[in-house]
Amino acid sequence: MTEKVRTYQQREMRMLSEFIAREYPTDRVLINQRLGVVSPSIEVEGLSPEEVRALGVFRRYADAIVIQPDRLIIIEAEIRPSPGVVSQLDLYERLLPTTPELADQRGKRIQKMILWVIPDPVLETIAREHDIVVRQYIPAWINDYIGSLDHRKRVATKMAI
Amino acid sequence: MPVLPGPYEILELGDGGSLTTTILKSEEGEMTINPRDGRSPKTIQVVRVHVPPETKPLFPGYYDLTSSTLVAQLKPLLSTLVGNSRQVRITKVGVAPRARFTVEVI
Repeated sequence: MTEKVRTYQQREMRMLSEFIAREYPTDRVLINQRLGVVSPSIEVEGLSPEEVRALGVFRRYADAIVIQPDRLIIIEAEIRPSPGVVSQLDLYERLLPTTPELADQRGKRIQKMILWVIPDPVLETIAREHDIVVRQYIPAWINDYIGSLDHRKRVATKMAI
Repeated sequence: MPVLPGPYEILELGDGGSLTTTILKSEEGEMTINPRDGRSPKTIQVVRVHVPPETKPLFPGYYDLTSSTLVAQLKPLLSTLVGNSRQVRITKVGVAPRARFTVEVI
């Protein structure tokens, strides 16, 4: 993983953690939680716990899961959202009930949420069609970073010509 | 940012290893590390979390968190964790330099 990608992810992670501390200060929260089953998809015996874990590295990661009394909120945080975030959240919704770490939460309603800095009206429309809530959070420290981006990376998808 | 005084107690977890604790106090600062692979010394940002003796009976009573990913995840949450009874569980998945951390506020 390049240093540039890592730094970008750290900005998104920082933005997400700040948002959670503000919006859900008393809720149980999991940040960067792996989803889906733990056991390997092939039948193997005699593996050590480390080997089983190694086979589980293909589990997906949700940026955050907020656990509330009546629901689970899956959050994906992106400074500038990519269209793939919608299908990511749909996938995570399917994986969540099979996640052993969250077995005690089964049966709760699942709410999907995109957290972004740069709004995208087209993507927001698509997200709504998928029952996804969209929230904007602009940390004070991010303006310098946004200002350093090329113009095309600072703007959302255009709805009309 | 101030340089954190020693001794340093870097939190080192293995793949799948975790630490569950409350946090009594936290400090932010920098420290200079000397990579074992011979690269030149590097100054990094550190979050020092002071933990109760039940978590860490031996001196010093804190851990220094040096992973920039973990620091980005945890630092904004400290306001909800420090000085109260809420626990945080930090779990490492994978090994450096691709290690990731799951942070659970319980």
